[in-house]
Amino acid sequence: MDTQIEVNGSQRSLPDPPTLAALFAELGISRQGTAAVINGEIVEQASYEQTPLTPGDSVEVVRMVGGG
Amino acid sequence: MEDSTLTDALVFAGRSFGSRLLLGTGKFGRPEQLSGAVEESASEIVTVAVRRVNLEDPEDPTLSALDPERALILPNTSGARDGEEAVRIATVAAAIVGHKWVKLEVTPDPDYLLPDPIGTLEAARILVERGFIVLPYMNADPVLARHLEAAGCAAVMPLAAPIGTNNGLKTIDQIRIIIEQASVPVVVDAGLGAPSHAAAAMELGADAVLVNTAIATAGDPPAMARAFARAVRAGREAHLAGLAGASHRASASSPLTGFLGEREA
Repeated sequence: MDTQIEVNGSQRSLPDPPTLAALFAELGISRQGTAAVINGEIVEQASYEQTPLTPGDSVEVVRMVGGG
Repeated sequence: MEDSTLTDALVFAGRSFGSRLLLGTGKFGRPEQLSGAVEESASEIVTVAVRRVNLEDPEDPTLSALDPERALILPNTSGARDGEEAVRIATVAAAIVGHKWVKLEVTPDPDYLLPDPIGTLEAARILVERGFIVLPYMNADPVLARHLEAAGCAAVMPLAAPIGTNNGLKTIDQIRIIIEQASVPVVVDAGLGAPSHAAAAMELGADAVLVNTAIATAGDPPAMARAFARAVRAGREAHLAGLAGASHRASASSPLTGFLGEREA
């Protein structure tokens, strides 16, 4: 069954197995130059494969943008 | 002739930088304008912001021109409305850039984007404690500058005028005091709208300036970046040379004797 999570403020469903790595693949986001925060905790890039997502998790994927 | 600016490095936290112009990367219309401005500015520190990835368009080429080998990528904490948010943003930023240098910004007021002195100081203390090299954006308040320095900040970054206004050195008298009292580098940040403003800040003795809007929204951003770089060098050289004093009365530059047609007394 798909897992319902929140990503950058909007609802997403993720097929099994729901990991952070799967979410990045699903969204087509490069790990290079980005960071992921799950429920307020930063996740090390090396552990995306081993990081499960559970229903109701709030994920933020951030990157650098132009700024002053 | 020896170029004194080559040996006159800007030093933050023990690291030397050859350029005294820091470049902000926001508001550039096209990626090639940014890459051109980075090139022409010769900046060795470029600031960036941290934002959510746009899930509909995750590949953003805007910053692809930035090369961390050539310039330190300095994340800011823009968007933080209090110190706690700033600490959170700085922590996430460090995970992205792989170092702990941060331009600390706490700006709760959306109309003027003036920095919150209390939130900035609180966040600075926490971040320094956690090993960050903190460069805080601040109002031009000499007393606050001393507090931030005592908190362990690697620089102080007083504003010339509110962010993005291009209004020039409105806080000049306060900045003069900050420069006089600070023992960390003083970077005049925000509001510098023209190369002449940047030159004036450097003549005053600022260690560096940070410019974004005035370059990014110029007619030709790379050319304006070059103009700012030259102004910053000119202002620095003038400061090092020691400016001649000003006076109210005229003082002739030409001799006052031996005029043509003059008779011996």
